[in-house]
Amino acid sequence: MNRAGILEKLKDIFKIVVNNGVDIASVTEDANIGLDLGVNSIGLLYMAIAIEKEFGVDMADVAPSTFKTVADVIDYIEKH
Amino acid sequence: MKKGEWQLIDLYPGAHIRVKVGNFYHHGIYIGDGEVVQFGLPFDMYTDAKDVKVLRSPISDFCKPDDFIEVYVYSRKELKQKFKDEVIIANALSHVGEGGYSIIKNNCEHFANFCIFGKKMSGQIDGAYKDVEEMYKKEK
Repeated sequence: MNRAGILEKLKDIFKIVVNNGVDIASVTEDANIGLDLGVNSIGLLYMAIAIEKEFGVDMADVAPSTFKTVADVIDYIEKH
Repeated sequence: MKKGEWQLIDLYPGAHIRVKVGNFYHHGIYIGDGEVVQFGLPFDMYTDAKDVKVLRSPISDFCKPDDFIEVYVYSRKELKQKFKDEVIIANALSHVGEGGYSIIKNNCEHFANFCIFGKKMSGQIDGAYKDVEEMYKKEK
């Protein structure tokens, strides 16, 4: 799956776990997880669990500091 | 397993303790004389997992002075399954300096329960997995 495909699948995850009124359809790789998407620590935990479920990626070494932007999330998925 | 409950009672050596930190609870094992063994500092979940270690610390490094420290009171069934308090303390101390932290697989609560029951368990993470399952069900 290429980066665009990963981003689209991530948007589906954000729609489920980032339920705070943010326009998910317009999210780009540059979006800041905390500032733009409004994801707090528990939201990040939910996001990590959903990524594990959807992509089959081991999220064991993820900490809230691991991801600053959506691009960081895509990088992580590609590397794992 | 029938669960016990968290209460605001006096600390005792070997007690499983926790404090609220943001959206989560930080867990540790009280070892007496104002000291605690904890897997990372309260805000270490926000730092690089590889830098988080099991620490023997003064209680002042576990929480702020005005934080409420809760103590886990075991159910009758758990009391039969847990190690003795002195064994819990020895277990906790034997891991001081170790790493391998993971917020999902090996966090401060997993560590405390490992010292107490010999099993890595985290009610917070189990709850988060259930929450995500519920979110997916609602979406469908």
